[in-house]
This record gives sequence, structure tokens and C-alpha cells, in this order.
Amino acid sequence: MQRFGISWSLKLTNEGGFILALVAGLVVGNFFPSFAAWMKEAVRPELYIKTAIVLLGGFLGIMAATQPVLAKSVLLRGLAAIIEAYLIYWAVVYFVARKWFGFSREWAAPLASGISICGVSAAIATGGAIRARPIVPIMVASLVVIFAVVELLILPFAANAFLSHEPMVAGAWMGLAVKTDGAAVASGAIAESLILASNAAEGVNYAKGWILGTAATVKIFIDIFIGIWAFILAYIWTNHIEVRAAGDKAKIGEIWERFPKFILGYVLTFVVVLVLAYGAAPEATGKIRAGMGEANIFRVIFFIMTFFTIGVMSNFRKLWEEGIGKLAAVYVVCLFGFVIWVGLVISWIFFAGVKPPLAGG
Amino acid sequence: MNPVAKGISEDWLSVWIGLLVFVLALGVLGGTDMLGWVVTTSVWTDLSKALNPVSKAYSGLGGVGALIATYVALLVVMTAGAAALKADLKRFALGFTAVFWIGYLSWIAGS
Repeated sequence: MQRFGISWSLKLTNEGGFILALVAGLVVGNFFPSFAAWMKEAVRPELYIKTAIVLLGGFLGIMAATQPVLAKSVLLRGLAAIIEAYLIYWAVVYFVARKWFGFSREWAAPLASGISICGVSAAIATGGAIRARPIVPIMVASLVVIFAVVELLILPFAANAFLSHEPMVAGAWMGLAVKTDGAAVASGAIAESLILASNAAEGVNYAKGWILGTAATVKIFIDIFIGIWAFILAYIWTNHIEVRAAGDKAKIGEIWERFPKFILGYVLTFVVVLVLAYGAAPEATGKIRAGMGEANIFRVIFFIMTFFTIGVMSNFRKLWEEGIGKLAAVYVVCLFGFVIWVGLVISWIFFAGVKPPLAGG
Repeated sequence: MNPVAKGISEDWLSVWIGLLVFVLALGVLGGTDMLGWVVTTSVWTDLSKALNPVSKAYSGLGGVGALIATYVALLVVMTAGAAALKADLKRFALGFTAVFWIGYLSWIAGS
């Protein structure tokens, strides 16, 4: 059993390797800029993490098929939680950036999306939606990546320290509070391994994958709404804030264009595995599980490459030279001032008392 | 982060690569273990035992063989993907090699 467990688990016991890959990336990105430039063509964290998430769908599918009741409750709560998060986060960040820091609308909107929603792709989609200059979302996205790293290094450990008896709250919290898909899911992975270890030390053995699954589910729901949100903003901007010629108004097709397509892959693998495994004979389920275990190893490799390349991209010095101190100030104030805490409260409201199944149960 | 989008988007590419691996992984349902050679890393105390192919059917490969097989397979798939993105293939292949090996060595070291 121990051997079997290791062969298809998420290998969460080696999360130290994630951090090392990240640190290696930071070293390359900040101290060996010419080496970083040399490998730039392959530094594509978004590609790696999206591929990993497509694979994650199948893995979560096999878990959902074996624990249908709890899986359904995670989906519903996740949906409710992120709608609240959207409405609260976005409005407050936009207000803070506009009123307290005096940013123009062009800066405040991508910033609000970047901090409150999902980071990089949200900032870029919002920038596109309100037709900001390209530099605006790129600068915001860079900040998002850097602070996601900071969160990744702090929040999972905080979750373990304070929420080890509410593992699902911890998972949802990681999904809501940590920006960028990679860092959020990775935070879920680290929080899970820490919390499972804490509980195991007290004699409670939860099944693996649920905390990570909750973090990923919440994050993915947030991602699904980027397209819709970008469309709403595009509509408001074109019709009320910067009224342009009639032909320039937002079209329904833009939802599809901005819709993160990897979500489709994730949903597809999730549904396929769920359909194949739900109610299937134990033998077939075991085979699917073995297959997903193999796919899952590729997912981990894609994760490792995501961590490394995020590190390579985070060139602290260059960002400072471009004068993003004020932007960073808004980010820090909002992130540590309320995004993290509101995420915690919402996670608590929707997930408190929900426990992952016990291992072997 | 890639303002000059040519070829297909990274977004779609990630879907195709993910689905490719997914479909191959489902091969076990038909009795064909097509991905059993992928390398796994255990928490190790003895480096020579850290790496192994995930499936016993491929244990003849050994840990290092599995790692190299994994690298070659990913290099081929990702470079094909880079071609679809219209990226510079040589630079991508070299860069990917660096990303894979530095990343994986960090992973081994941290396990």
C-alpha cells in the first residue's frame, strides 16, 4: 500500500523541490540575465501550468468519481465563494487605487483584476477589455507574478499553522488568496502536504488530493469568469466611460476570444474520467487510476518547469528601474490588507466543517 | 506575456498537449501501458534509488534511463508545440533543455 500510495500520489512529500526549482529560477533570472535571455524562448510558465491543469482535470475526475457527494459540495461551495470574492475584491481594489493612490482608470482596472481575480491572464484580459496601453497590463502582470511567489512562500505555512483542523478552508483559501494559476495550485499542494502531515501526527489520516483539489477548483472557477468579467468591463467602458463610434462596441464573441481555452481541456478530462469511472467495476477504476497516476507524473514535471520559469521571469531589479513602486504599494496594501483576509473569511463561511475523506475510506 | 501572437495560442496548445498525454494515459484501459516509462522521484536517502520508471513493466530502463526517456519525449512534444506557436525552434529546444534539467535537478535535490 505504501508503495502504491507513492506511485500515484501527488508526491507532495517532495514539495521542497518546487521551492528549490523556484529559487534556482530566481537566481538565474536575477544574477545570470544573459543565461535567462538565452533560454527565454522556453520560459513559458503559462503554457506549462495550463498543460498541467488539463492533466489535473483527469486526476480530480477519478477522485470525484470515488467520492461523489463531497465532490459535489466542493463544486457548489466553490462557485458561491468565488462570486462573493469577485464582487468584494474587485470593487475595493479599484476604489483604493483610484481614491487613495490617485491612479487613472486605465491603471486601476487592470490592477483590480490582477489583484482580485486571477493575476496574469485577468490583468491582460482587463487591459484588453478597457483598451489600455499594453505596458499597463504587462506591468501589473509582473507584479502579480512576484507577489504570488511571496504568497506561495508564506500562506501555505500560515494555513498549516492556523487551519490544520479545517483542511478544506485552507484549500479554498489558497485558491482565493494566491494569485496566478501556478502559484495558487502550488500553494494548495504545499498546504496539503503540510496539513496532512500535521493531522497524521495527531493520528488523523485524510485522503490525499482534497485540499489541492479544492484550491484548484476555486481557482478554476475564478478563471472561468475572466472572460465574462472582461466582457462586462468592455461593455461598461465602451458604452459609458469612453464612448466611441457605434461599430466599436463590445461583442459577445469577445467572451469566447478571451475565454481561457485550457479550461475546456480541464473540463473535458474531468468529465471523461468521471463518466468512465463513475459506477465502473473496481478493476476498471483501478486501471483508470493507474493511467491518471502516470499522467499525473507529467503534471508534476510541468509544475516543476512552471516554478522554475516563474523564477526566471521575476527580475526584481528591472522592475524597480521601471518605477513600479507605487503600483507595488497598492498591491501590498490590498493584498495583505484585505484580499488575503477576505479570502479567509469567505473560505471559512463556505467550507468550515467540511472534512476530506479519511485515507482508505 | 506574448503580445505578438502568431500561430496558435499558448492557451490552445496547452489543451492539445494535455489531451495528448491524457489519451495516452487512458491507454491502460485498453491494456496498453504507453506511459509507464515516465520517471518518478521518491523521497530519497540513497541517490541511486531516488529515480525509477513508474511502471514495473519498464523497470529494465532503470531510473536514469527513465529520466532520459522522459526528457526526450517531452522535448519532442514541446518542440512540436513550439513549432505550432511559430517560436524559434532551436532556441526553444535549447532553452527547454535548460529548463527541464535545472528544474528536475532542483526537484531531485529537494526531495
